[in-house]
Parts: sequence; C-alpha cells; structure tokens
Amino acid sequence: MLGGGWPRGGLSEVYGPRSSGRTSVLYASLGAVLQKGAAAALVDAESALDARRAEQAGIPLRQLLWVCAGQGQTLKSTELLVSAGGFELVALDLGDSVPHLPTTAWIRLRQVAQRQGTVVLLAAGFPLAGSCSATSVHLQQKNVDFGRQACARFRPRFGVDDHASARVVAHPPLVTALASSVSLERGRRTAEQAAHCSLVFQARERAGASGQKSGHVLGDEAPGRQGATREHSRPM
Amino acid sequence: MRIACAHAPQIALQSVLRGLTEPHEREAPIALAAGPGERALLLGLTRSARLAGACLGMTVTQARAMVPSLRVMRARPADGDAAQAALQDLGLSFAPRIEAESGRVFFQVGDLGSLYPNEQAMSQAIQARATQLGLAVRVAIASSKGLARVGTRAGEIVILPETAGAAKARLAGLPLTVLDLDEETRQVLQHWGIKTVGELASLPGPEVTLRLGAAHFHRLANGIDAEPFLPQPPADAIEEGTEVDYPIESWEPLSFLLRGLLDRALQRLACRSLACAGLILRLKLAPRGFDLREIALPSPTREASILLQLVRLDLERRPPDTGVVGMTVLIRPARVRSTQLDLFRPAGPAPERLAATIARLSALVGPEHVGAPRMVDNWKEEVMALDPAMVEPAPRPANQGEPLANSSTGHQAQATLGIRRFRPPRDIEVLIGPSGPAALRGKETTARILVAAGPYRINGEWWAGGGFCREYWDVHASDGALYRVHQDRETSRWYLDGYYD
Repeated sequence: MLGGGWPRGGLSEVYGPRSSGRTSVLYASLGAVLQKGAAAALVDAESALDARRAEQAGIPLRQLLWVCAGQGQTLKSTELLVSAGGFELVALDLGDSVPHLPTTAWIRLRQVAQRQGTVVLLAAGFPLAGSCSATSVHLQQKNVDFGRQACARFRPRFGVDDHASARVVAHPPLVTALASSVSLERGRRTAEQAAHCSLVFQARERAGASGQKSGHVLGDEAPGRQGATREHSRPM
Repeated sequence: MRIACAHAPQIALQSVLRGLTEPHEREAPIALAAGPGERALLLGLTRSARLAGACLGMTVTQARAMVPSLRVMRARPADGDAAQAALQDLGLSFAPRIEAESGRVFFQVGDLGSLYPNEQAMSQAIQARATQLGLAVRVAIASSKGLARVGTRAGEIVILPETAGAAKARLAGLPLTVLDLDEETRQVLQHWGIKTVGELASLPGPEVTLRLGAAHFHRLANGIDAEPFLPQPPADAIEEGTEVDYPIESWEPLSFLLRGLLDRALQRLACRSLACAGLILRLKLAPRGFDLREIALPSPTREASILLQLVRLDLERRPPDTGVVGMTVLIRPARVRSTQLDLFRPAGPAPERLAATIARLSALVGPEHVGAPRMVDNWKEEVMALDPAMVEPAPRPANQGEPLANSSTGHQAQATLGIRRFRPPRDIEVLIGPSGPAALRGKETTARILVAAGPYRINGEWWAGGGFCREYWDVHASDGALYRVHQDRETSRWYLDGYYD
C-alpha cells in the first residue's frame, strides 16, 4: 500500500481507535527492522508492550530498546534516540494518550529524523503530527474473528454471526483474527489507490506449541456450562 | 638488549603542574611546599621561580619575600602517585614490560627499531608522548639499566652505544655527578682530583674497590653494568585526583576540574591501548566526608565528553550534599572494543554514543524504564522483565525476517495481532448475564458486550504458595474495542488486562 515502506528520514503516523490494529502495525514494523539486523527503539507512553505478542510479531526482544516514557517525556525521549543516530526506526507509541504538543515540537522531530535518516513512526488514537507527517495511515476495525468458539450476547455487528448462539469453552487464543481497513490520508500514493487496502492481524497463539511450558487450563466449571477439564499447553 | 629510561625530574612538582590546564599558568613562578602553613619548606621550584631568586629549602615566607608573585602549591601524596603512575603508562605505551622506580621508568626498546629510523627519533617520540601525559622527561637509551639511568642525568636525550668501549668513551667527558655518588665517595674522589667519569674509569678497578668499595661506579664509568631488568606488572586501575582550596558547589567549575582529570586519565589509558569500562568518582566534601559514586558504562570508551556527560547526569540526579573540595577519579580499564562493520547489514548506532543516550534517557525517565524487554518464566500473562539495553551490535540474524506484511491476494496483507497491556490490570466491574459477561463498567471503558469468548482458565503457582486462579475472557465491546478481561476466582474481582490492537 505504501509503495516501499515507511519513508526514511521522515515522520509517519498510524492512527485509529482502539482495536484498529495500530499496535500490530507498530510491532510488525519493529520486527521487520530488527530482523534485518538494524537498530530500532520503542518509546512507550503507556508501558503497554506485551512481550509475548511482540516476540510473536518477530521482534527479537533482546535487541529492542524499550523506553517507558511518561507523559511529557515521550517526545523528548524520541528526540534523544533519533539524535543518537544509527537507528533505522524509532517507534513512538502514544496509545490512547493525547499529549498537548505544539506543532513546533513535531517540526523539530521531523528535522532531526531527516538529518539522521531515521524513520519515526507514531501510533496514536488521533492524527497528531498533521502536516509534519510524511505518511499518515488511518486504520479502522473491519472484522473480528473469534474462531468457532464464542458466545454472543447480541448479534454482532461484524463478522461473527454464524456461531452467535454458540456458548462453548474457547481454546486459546480466544480472538483469532482482526481485520482492519486502511486508508492512506497522506503519503506518496493517493487515497483512491489505498481505498481498498485491508490488513488482517492473526493471533498466533496456538495450543501445543513446541518448546513451551505446558500447564493446566481448566474449562468452565459453572453450572450449565461445559465442565470438562482440559489440558493444553499455555504459551508463555 | 637496548633499554630506555625516562626520567621525570622533580616529579613531585611535575605532579602538581599536571593539574594546571592553561600554559601561562605553568610559566608563572610556582613553588611546591612540603605542607600547609607559611613555615613549610619548598620542595620544588619552576625555572621562572628559580630565576626570580627563590631557592629550595626556603620556607614559604622567605620565598614570598624574594618573589612576591610566587604561587605556592602544596604537595599531596595522591598527585605524586598519579604522576608516577603516568610515568609507568608512558613506558607501557612503548613496551609491554616495564620497571619503575621513583621518578623513572625503564623499558626495552630493542624491538622498536622498525618503527623509528634511529634511537634519537625514538627518544623524541618518548618525550612527545610524555608531554601528552603532562610530564617533562629526560630520555636515555643504553644497553643496560644502570647506564640508562646515568644517561638521564647527563642530558635531555642521551644515546649510549651498545658496546662497553664506545659507551665508556661517550661517558668519559661527563662530570662525576652523573654517577650519583654518595657524599663520602665524592669527597674522596674530589680530594684525589678526579672530576670526570673518564678519570674515574682510568683508575685501576681492584684498587678503587679496595679503597672506596665503589666497584659498581667504577664499572659504570667503564661502560659495564650487570643490573638486571626486572619487569613489573602494570597497575589495574588508573587513578587521578585533585584538590581545591575552596568548596565548589556548582557544576561549571566542577566540570572544569573533572575534565582535566578525565583527559589525563584517558591519555594514560590510550598509552596502554585500553579504554574506560567503568568509573568511580570520589568527591571530598567540605568540611568533611566523602561522596562515592560509581558510573557504569555499557561499552568501553575513550571519549572524555561522554564520561563527563554521564558524571553530570549522575550529579544532577543525586547532587552532593555540600561543596566539593577534592575529587578522585578511578578508572577501570578494559580492552578497546574492535568491531568489524558488516557489508550486508545496516550500521547501528555507535556504542559509545548509544551508551550516552541510554544514560540520558535513564536520567530522564529513570533507569528502571529503559532497557530491553524480556519474557519471564511465569504463568501470568502480563509479567515481563527489563534487561539492560544492549549496546553492542546484535549478532547477524541467521535468516532474514518476514516483511512488514506478507502480501497476499490483491490488497490484503497479514500480520500478527498485538495486544496492549494495562499495567497493572485495571479494576473493572463486569455485569454477568445468563451466558457470560454482559457489560463492562470502569475507568477505561463503559460498554455493552457484543461477543464474549471464554472462559480460558489458568491456575498456577499453587505449588509455591500464594497461587492464583484466573478466568480469561475476550470480549468485543460496544465501543468497538476487543478487550481481554479476567476474573480472579479467589476474590471474584474482575480486571481489565488490555485490548487487542
């Protein structure tokens, strides 16, 4: 969709509401860069990193520089990292927080990134960088897949409708996939070209994965539900 | 075997002068006093002070009467030790094995012939290196230790030939003072009318030995010396220190002094082809007490600016209680890291610069918030740990990673679904319906539940006491988010773990 990836030496942003897939995009970008052998860092405003999911996304955790910066320190931390030079990607995960930052701060960050040739990738709930961003991608949740095992209280809006009445014990993972529509708000390609793009994020947790610790996962023992005790391996 | 001797005359005075950073300060009349007070005797004088009329052995008051502009500095054992250690580092910069004595260092230079056109050039290089270390030395190269020692008393640079006969001829014209005779022998020889080394050498050896017992000096005068070269292992740590007359309470003057100490220490490290792997800063506080702090370095470095920055960050994070009247820097040496850049992978950040950046980030957000995440062998999903960040280049991956998104048909791509954790898990109220969770209410969200998948029950750590039992649910809430919640089966309380994103 982006026609070659995130622009080097520029500020890019991925935004969308909760469960739209912005964190998954961030993980995938970090994983791709780190697996290539380049350096990458993650500035996390909410300490929301899930190490297991990050590793499943291809991030070699030992090589990731993770900075849990509180409010008011995120941009400064990002600037420090970008200024150090040598980082191919510095990801700034703002999550749901909405920092009150002046436009000059984004301009300064863009200039530093341009000087160092670093990709600065911002993930947030809203578009924050405005015209300072070279690429702006808007994600919107499109479909959620619970697999075949989910109990629906109401008729779902998206996807899961055939098994709405099923009320069974789910195997991990409970959510198996999330699909999001992607629209390119700013970038080299036009919005029309990107209008039909979509991303599918698969949960890679699987029971019985090799090399992982096995344990007891008990089924629902509530009356009226399946009470069988099941034994699965639980991924770490 | 060719042995070089570097001699730092008045090393006590030189050790004090090393602390003066400006050249014009060294040119001023300076005296080194043995202790505090005006009655302390002078131990050393600079050339300008001697020319102005001050003499060794005067008290401070007498010297000041002669030279009103005389600057008197006090002798400190630490300074002398540092200068002596610097002299040893001078030797180590040319040879792996050295032998040191007070004010002198000996080292073998026989193998350096391929690096320098002649021994004169070698001696000049030794002097130049000493100047970098803040020392002024005399250099002599001879075939033995004793002859080299004699040579350093004869001039700034003295090269004694390898054969005994040629060395004897070279020494013949020198006064007897170069042999450093004891007072009694010197008086006897003076009485005999012996004034030069050549005259002493011409005396019959057995007779001189019989009458004076100075066989060693007679052999030296003949260019013969059998004093063995006994190499010593170098000191592990490098220490530099200084003291000031008044307490310093701000960073600016402190950094000025610290910069000088670090520069000198790093010069000494460079002499040994080593780098700084760690730093211990010992601040002497006014009126009493010490402040000891250790600066850890993720990667060995020889950059004074980086060390200074790390010290500054440490001092800003934890300033000393009172003014500083002295400081000592103890540097832990390590081998210089040698890296070979890979042709087929991007160059990462320079380790030294990354180390400084990590230190600055640690100062900004706290050291417990910077590092590399690590999964922990624990049954609870949210548990993870933080390791120190890796500043060395990562090993080359065995296979190239997957691209950002595997392109499949048309305009659809796939990636791994991530989850955002709330740390710690948030308390939340969950309304339970006949078929499971029906609604959420909490600080993070208040919504109806459209789809709920679960429960996925985990119990663990019962074998270690304080076990837990949780039931996990993935719920699709009416606000559009996919939350992961769990109920603690022991307390029946619900927690919001995070949401898929």
